[in-house]
Amino acid sequence: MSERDDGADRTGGAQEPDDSGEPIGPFRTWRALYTAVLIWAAILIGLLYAFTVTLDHSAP
Amino acid sequence: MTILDWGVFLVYFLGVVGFALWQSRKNVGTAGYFLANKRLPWLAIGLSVMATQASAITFIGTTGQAFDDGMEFIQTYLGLPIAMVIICILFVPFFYRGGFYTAYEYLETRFGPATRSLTAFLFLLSRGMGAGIILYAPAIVLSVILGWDEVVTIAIMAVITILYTTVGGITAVIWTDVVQMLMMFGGIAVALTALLVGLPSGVGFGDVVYIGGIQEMWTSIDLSWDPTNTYTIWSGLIGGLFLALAYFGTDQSQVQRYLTAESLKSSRLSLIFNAFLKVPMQFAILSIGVLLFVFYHFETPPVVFNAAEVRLVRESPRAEEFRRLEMEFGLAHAEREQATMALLDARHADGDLTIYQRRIASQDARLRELRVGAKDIVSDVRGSASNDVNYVFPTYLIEFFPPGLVGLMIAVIFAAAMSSLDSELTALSSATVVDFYRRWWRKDATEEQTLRMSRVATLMWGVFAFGVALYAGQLGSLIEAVNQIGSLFYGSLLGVFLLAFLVDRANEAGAFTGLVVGMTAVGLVAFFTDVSWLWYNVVGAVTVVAVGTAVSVMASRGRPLAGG
Repeated sequence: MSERDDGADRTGGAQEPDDSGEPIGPFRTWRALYTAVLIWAAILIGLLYAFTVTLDHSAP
Repeated sequence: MTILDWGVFLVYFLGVVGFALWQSRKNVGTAGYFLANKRLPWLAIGLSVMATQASAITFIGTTGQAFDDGMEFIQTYLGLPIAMVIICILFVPFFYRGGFYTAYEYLETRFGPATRSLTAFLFLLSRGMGAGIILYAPAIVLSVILGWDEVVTIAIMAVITILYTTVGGITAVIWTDVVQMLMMFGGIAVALTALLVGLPSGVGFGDVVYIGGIQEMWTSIDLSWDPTNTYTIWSGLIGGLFLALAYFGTDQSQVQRYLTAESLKSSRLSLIFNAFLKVPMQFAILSIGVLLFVFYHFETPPVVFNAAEVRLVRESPRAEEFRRLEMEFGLAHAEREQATMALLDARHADGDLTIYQRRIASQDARLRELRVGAKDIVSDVRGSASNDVNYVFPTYLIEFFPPGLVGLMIAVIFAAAMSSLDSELTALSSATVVDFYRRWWRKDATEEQTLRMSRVATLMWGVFAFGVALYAGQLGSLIEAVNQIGSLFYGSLLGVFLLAFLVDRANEAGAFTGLVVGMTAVGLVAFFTDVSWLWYNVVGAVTVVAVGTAVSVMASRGRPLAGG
């Protein structure tokens, strides 16, 4: 995702030289990084739900 | 505390304050004091963002809450990763590229000075009170451990934090936060390890998990649709999302952190760092509370953890009634312990566990009932609600931690408190100076005058926080108290920023009217319904955007479009 894609263009301010679409660690674009965060959130919710179901040892 | 504990404690204080002041030596002028001259790396800012939110209240209050109610509190954080993405995309570019000192400065460019001043004022009001509560939490620990009056411990905490914040500014604050956050990670690991090691021989990790499960302490997700219940996945995902948007996106104590970054990319990365780590960290902190719950199956807990409250009741006319209740509590605990040991034997022998599960559950219910009864007596005697929940973890530390580690853990709790308080003070100071002093009172203030005023403002807010801290004991569970205070204003503040970012036609009349109506709506919901505080942010933000848009459209009819 370019900066224009992610809302940065709304500022009308000067572009930062290091913010021009270069890779962010292992992620090629900001869109990929943001997607990874959302997937991570979904995984966490799934894990917590699994804990809730499997670790319930209340008396039947 | 032993001499070794005091040694660890003092080394922490001297080390962290010295390190902070040494780091701040490169600060230049007001930009250095409030923005660290925009030269800080993203990892340091990311840790500071995390440390600012993870206060001693988080450490003490959340563990106590998990001890009583299990992991359900984790749901309030589920919207946070999503909020971080939205803030990175929508909020950060506006703030960073505008070259602002405070978030509220941006609003003036969009809606004029009245909206900027009102939002800055609301921030000062709510976070000034919040700073007081942050200050109160570690004072509880010291008062329990040292037997000092809470007023004395509050004063000591305030003086030390104000000292290095006033002198070193944001650079001192952020680098202190880095050290303090790393200490907190260590403290969480030490506490979890100590709780597991401290169990009776033959009781393993699997047993601990199982015992917690009997009382559904690991229940982390509640799928029910009940807006009066704070701890459901929907309250967490929707209400928590709006809370996180408001806190990380519009609260100066957080915005100021990512304005110190060396680039826009660094600003964003500091938030993404939190998106990945915040929920797991909170899970670990809550787990301490659940492990404490299991630990006290094998050790007799006090019926009320606040030793000062117990002393008060023992000197009151209801002392005999309380003593009888304590005896009954001891008997019920002994029965639960016996049932627990029998369950573990049966579990290890692959026997039928149902009868033991029921016995434990029955005694648990009895113990909870007795605890509620004891707290009612306390409340009656002291004339206000018992805040026992905040004493659970500190009491465990004093009684069961080995020498040296007690000092370390107390230092960690102090670290948590100071890393939040220092951020609040520097944020309150920046909003006071930038949004009021330099905006209205002394527009022509020199650099030297502004810097001097910044230090005076830091000191002033420290004193205000001290005053609020004196009354924080009446507020019950501290973690909820801070969030509740914030929630009365947060949602509406968020609404104004969303209006600015998203609605091109929004203008000053719309924003101002929307803000007033939004706060009124939150007030009505808070006082006349049972809807959970986590939804206040949603109500406030949605109302402001809706009313603000409508009023803007009406006000701009027949006139050239404003804003955009």
